[in-house]
Amino acid sequence: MPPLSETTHTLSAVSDQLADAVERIGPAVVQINGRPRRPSSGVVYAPTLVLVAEHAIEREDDLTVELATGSPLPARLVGRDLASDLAVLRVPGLVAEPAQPAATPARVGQFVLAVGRPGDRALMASIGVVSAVGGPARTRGGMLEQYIRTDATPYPGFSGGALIDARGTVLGILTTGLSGGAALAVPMPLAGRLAESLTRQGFVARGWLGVGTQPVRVPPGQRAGLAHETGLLIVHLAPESPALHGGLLLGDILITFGGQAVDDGETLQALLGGERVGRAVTIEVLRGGALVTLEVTIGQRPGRSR
Amino acid sequence: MSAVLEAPTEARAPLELPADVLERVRPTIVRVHGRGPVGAAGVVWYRDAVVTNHHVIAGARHALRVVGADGRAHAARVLETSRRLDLALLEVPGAELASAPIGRSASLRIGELVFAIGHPWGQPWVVTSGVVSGLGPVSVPGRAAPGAYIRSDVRLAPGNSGGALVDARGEVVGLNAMVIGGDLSIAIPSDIVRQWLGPGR
Repeated sequence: MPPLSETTHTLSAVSDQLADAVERIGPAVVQINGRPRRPSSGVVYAPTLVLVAEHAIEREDDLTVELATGSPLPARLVGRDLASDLAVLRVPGLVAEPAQPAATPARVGQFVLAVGRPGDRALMASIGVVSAVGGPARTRGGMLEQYIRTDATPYPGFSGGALIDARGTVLGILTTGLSGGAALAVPMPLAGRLAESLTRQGFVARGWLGVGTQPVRVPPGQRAGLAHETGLLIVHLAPESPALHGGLLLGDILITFGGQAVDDGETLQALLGGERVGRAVTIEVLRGGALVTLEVTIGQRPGRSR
Repeated sequence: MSAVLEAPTEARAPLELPADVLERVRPTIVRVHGRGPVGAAGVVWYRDAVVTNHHVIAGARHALRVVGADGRAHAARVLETSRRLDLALLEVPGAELASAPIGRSASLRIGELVFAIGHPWGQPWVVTSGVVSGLGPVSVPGRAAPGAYIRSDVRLAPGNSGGALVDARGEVVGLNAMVIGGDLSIAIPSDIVRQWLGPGR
C-alpha cells in the first residue's frame, strides 16, 4: 500500500478538481424566479442571455434572475420550446461571464456534476455519471433530437441548471420536466441551436400535422395494390390543423408522407422537422380500400399559449 | 518470482484511491446499540470517547453498547448530550478504541468528494460516496432556526446516524444526522462538534 500522504494527496487532487469545476461554473449558474415559491435554475450562455427550463416559467410578468449577490434582476421571456423544455430569458442588467460549453460530447460512464442555484441564491451540486445518450425521443411538445441521461441527483429547482464535466464546462442543460422526473439534459450544441432560434424568431420551427394516430396492419385485400403491410390509422384530427385543411378524414390510414413509408408515430414525428413548416407535402392514405393522394401544407406546432 | 516481489509499488489508479483512504478511517467508526434493532454509528473522537447523535441514545441511556470494528462489544455511558445540536458524547472505558482523524469542516467546498461510513439498515461498516452538495445555513425539519449543516448526495439510511462523513484526505468532516426530501443528506459539521466538546478534546 502506498504511504498515506501519497494516496490522500492524489485523491485530494481528484476532489479538488471537482470542487474547482463547480467553482468555475458557479458564476454562470443563476437562480430563476418564475413561479410561486419554487425557484429554478438557469445558465448564462451568452452576454445577458440565460437558458432556463420552460416548465419552470409559469409567468411572464415579474420574472427575475438572481446571482450569488446583488438585487434580483428583471428578466424578459424571449421564447420557449416545449419539445426540449427550454426557454430563453434576456436579462439586460446581467453581468456574468457566460458558461463555457464542453469541447467534446458527453460519453456514457463519464463523471458529471449537476449544478443548480435552486433557492436562497445558494449554489448546489451533486455527482453522477452519464447514464445514457439517446434520442430522438417524443416529448410533450414534439420531438427532442438528443438527450443525456444522468444518475446525478436533480434536487428540487435544479431544472435549467448545468450538467458539467470535471473541467467545469457545460455538457447540457438539466431538466426533470421531460421524462417523469428523471434527470435529463439537453446537450449543449442542440441547446445552443434551439436558443438561437428562440432569440431570432421567438420559437423553434417544428412541423405540425395535427393528427392522432394508431399503427394498424392492413389486410391484403385493402392495400389498393400497394406493398405496404402497415399504416397509421387517423384517430384524431386537431381543430384548425394542417391535416384537416388538407382533407384528411378520421379513419384514413396514412401510408406515406413525402414519399416515405410511415408505420409508427415516431417515424411520422421524425419527418415533421422544422424545415417542413410552410411547405406542401404529398401524403398517401387508404380510404375505404382505395388509394387517395393529398397535398398538405405543414404548419408550425402550436406553443403553450394555444 | 523475486522480480515480481521486488517490483516497485505500482502507481494507484485514481479510481482505486478511496479504498486506501477509507481503510484507515474505518477502525475509528463504531456501532452504537441503544434502542431499536438497527443500531446506529459513532465516531471515536478521542481515545475511548465516541460522538454520536442525541437521537440515537435518547431513551436508552442505561443499556448502551458500543461495538468496535474488531467486533468486540463494550458497555458505554453517556457523558454529555445536546438535544439542540443532536449530539451525544459517550465514554467507553477500557475499550482502547483508536481515535479518528478529525478535519476542519470550514474548509469544505461544494463539489468536493465525501464518503459516509455507517451501518445502513444494520449492515456493518458500509461506505457510500458523493460530493458536498451545499454549505451554509439551511432550515431542517424539527429545528427552530436555520443551522450550518453540510448537505451531500451520499446515500444514507437508518443506521447511518452518528456515522462519519469523511473527506478525500480521510478526515472526518461531519457526523451524518438525517436525510431531507428523500435524497439530501445532512451532516453536522466537525467544527460544530469540536466547539461543543470544548478545548482539549
